[in-house]
Amino acid sequence: MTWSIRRAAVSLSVFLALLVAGAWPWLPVQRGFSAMYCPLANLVLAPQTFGWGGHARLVPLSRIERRPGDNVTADAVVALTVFGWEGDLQMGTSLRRDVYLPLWILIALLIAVPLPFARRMKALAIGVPIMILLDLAALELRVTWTFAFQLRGIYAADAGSVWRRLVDLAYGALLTPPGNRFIAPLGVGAAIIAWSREPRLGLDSSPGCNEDVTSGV
Amino acid sequence: MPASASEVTPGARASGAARQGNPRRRPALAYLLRVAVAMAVFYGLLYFPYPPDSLPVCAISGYLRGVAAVSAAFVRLFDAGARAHGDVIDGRFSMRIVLDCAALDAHALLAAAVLVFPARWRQRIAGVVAGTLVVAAVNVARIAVLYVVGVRWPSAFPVVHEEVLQIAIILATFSVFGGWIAIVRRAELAPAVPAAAP
Repeated sequence: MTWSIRRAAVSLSVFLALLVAGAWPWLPVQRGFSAMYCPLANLVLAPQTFGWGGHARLVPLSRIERRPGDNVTADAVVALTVFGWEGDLQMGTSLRRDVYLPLWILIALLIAVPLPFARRMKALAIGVPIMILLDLAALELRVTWTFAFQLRGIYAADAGSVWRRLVDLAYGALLTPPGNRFIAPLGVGAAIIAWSREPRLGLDSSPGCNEDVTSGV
Repeated sequence: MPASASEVTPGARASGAARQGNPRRRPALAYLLRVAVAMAVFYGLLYFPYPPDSLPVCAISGYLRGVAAVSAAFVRLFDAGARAHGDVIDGRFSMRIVLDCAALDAHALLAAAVLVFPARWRQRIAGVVAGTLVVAAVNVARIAVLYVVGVRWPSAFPVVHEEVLQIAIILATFSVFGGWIAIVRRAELAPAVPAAAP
């Protein structure tokens, strides 16, 4: 397949149109997604014990707002509890920003790129679970970092331990940069498209190689 | 009669490689893997928890002050009273330029994607330099837009800040990269200039 300017423009237009339509801040969609995703995340998160008695749950919010102490407009909270202690620590989180939008970017990308129907469905069937797993891993890292660095006594306070340094570095490099949550779906999408078919990106200067790889599509 | 080794075409070789799981089968996947590794290196350097007052922290702080100063100069097109004080832009709306505002993730993405792309080194260096300038300019424009949104539509500021313009700068970075690839490919396909007759 050759990427003509026209074909690229059509794909880009479809991608942007889908992105705008799906990313529009409809409150019922945001609430619905939060209510649907929290139980799924809790299947992974809730049974775990972090350090010495730390537990976490994701709880959907019926009222979407920027609560005091939060730096996001929260549609869910991560509720942290510690065995033997009453009450919980609630951290507001925007599942729309952290999960829904990255997922939607991936879906829009895989719909916009010209692929045969069966391959598109296969790409979506592979890509969506990968993105959800990445989002769950990010949530896991956030909870672990919070228990390790914001609360005392859950993990050993040995500041020099390799594990703590790794968690801190991973948190700083993966969760702090705001662009990561939008780079990830584009990267995953690009990898799936590349896996599904090799577009002519000029990655291999051998003419026969490109012809052969694309002719079977 | 079976083809001898010398008669195997490049396409047939690639096809055979594909069947045998040769890495050449997936040059684009291999390229994406190299980008991921390069990004990990850049991210490790940029986001490492350096001790306060160390050289990298001072350099990044200086860069943030520079971004604030340039952004304030741009914002003055809309608000003559806007000024930068260190890493804070003050005026009818106040914004602090923190690490997340410097688009370092977009810069790292562009640099990684360009540097591991199979092109001439001169083209790669030119791509990184020019691309970095373009992404930095887009980021300054982003900060100026945020300022205007903060002044005129403060209730929309969180969505524009956390979602719309974050997506926009990443898409802009991908566009810059795509533009660079187009330029490189055009240069490769351009016919060589014939040598002048003696």
